[in-house]
Amino acid sequence: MLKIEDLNVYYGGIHALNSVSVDVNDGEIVTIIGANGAGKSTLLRTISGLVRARSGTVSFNGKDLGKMPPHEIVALGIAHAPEGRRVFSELTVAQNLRLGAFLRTDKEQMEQDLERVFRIFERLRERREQPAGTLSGGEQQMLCIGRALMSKPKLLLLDEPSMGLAPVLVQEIYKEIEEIRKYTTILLVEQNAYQALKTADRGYVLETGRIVMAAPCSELIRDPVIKKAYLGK
Amino acid sequence: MRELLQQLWNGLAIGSVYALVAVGYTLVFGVLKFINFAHSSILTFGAYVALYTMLSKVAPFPVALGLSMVLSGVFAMQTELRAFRPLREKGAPRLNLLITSIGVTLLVENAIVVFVSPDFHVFPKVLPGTPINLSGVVFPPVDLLLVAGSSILMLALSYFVNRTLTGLSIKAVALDRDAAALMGINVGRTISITFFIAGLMASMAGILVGMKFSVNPSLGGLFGLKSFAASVVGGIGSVPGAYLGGYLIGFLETLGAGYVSSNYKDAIAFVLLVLVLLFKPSGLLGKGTQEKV
Ligand SMILES: Nc1ncnc2c1ncn2[C@@H]1O[C@H](COP(=O)(O)OP(=O)(O)OP(=O)(O)O)[C@@H](O)[C@H]1O
Ligand SMILES: [Mg+2]
Repeated sequence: MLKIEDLNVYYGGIHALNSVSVDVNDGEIVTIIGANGAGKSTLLRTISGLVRARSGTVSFNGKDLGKMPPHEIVALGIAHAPEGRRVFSELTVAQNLRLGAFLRTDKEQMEQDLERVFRIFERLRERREQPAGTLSGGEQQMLCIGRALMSKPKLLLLDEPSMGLAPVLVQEIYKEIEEIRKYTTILLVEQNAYQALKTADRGYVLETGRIVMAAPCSELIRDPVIKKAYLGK
Repeated sequence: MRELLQQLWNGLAIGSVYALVAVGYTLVFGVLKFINFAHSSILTFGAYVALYTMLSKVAPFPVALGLSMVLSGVFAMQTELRAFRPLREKGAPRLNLLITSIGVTLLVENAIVVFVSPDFHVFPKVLPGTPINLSGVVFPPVDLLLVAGSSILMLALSYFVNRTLTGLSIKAVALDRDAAALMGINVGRTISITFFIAGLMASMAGILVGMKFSVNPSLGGLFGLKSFAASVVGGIGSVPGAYLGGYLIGFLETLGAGYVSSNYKDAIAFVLLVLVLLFKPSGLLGKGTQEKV
């Protein structure tokens, strides 16, 4: 459903993505692993239209996203839970979730989806009237993902959902990602390679802006080079 | 006592002007994080639209008022679209936006001098001439209209910002523009709406001070500056702060003029501004650390 071909992105003189090609098929979880500064967030931001590519194409169900503004890309069914959570800290949990459904008008279905988000992330339910800035880091991550789900996306982009979280919270978030995959295709970006490879179907390895490896996760997780560089074994 | 009540009423009336204009500085700062000095020219623009609509006798006052408010909103929106947006899209630093906004003000004022008229105009008489006198406290009709009109606009704005999805989207853009875009919010359109509202409110202020005093090409200048001071005093970015700052300056100014000396009347807003910046740089209702403006 998502097809990225030969993408090149620059920040001034920095070549952040160098002929990157990635495919995501309907129903999959695909992960992109890579170290700090590899270009993972840049890739997601380019898909969402926040960053413009110098060359190459991004298409979603056959539509070229290259010149679309971010809000039109959301309208096509791509939701992005950005790095660092980026919740609206002064707004309540409920308002954050409402903004996630900004483009929707189907009130009843929205209520059901809200209920589903609260079922997945029970902690958000009791905190719905609380300003998002007062949530813990883990709760903010849940809100960030929940907010993205409220747009009822066909494709969910997740940027380092485990960042800065204690191991038990990482487990919890990943448990819920398993739940979410039942109805949404996911492109997951992670530094926590072990978690990502355990969860996803296929993986790409990004190193300083280049894809250096692409394989099913079951293979990547056993690969000696990956083990040494990314899994610390 | 009678004297004090009179001063308080006068303060409320002029404070309404500052509050109406201050909220525009604050709204625009919220979404774009710069002080839009062109905002004071919207005040002038609005007063002229209403003045000429009345002079040409094509429409009654309420229509002139409404027309001016809508046109001023559109005018404010156009300043953003034509002057600020191209700069932002080129990634220009905020200082350039600020300087451009001063340029826009000069342009508007001088365009009025050249193409309209450099003179002072008395606004045609549209309200009953006799002030209401309640046991010695005088309520001029224009002040009553000012207080009523500004209250209605402020209540409407509060409702809009706090209770509607579009209002919520303005807050979202102010808090985090990229994250707002990822919600599907059309950021450009939201910024336009913000300018429209700011212009609409400034126009009402411009028309009523025009009626209270006179209409001239630099009408917006001092009112604009004091309102800017009000928005910073209240905490720039905060809508209730802008109201608070506006009324506070209105009251202090009239009380100062009444009980101390009217020579320093125009300095009071700026003295207050300096004091607030010294002791609470984020403003009375401002949150946490504000970026330098
Ligand atoms: N706005 C920017 N301006 C200039 N350079 C940038 C910008 N954003 C990212 N970069 C650079 O682009 C490269 C890729 O950054 P990116 O944020 O995509 O990496 P990442 O893989 O997400 O890293 P991390 O794991 O730390 O989040 C880095 O060298 C970074 O310094
Ligand atoms: Mg990143």
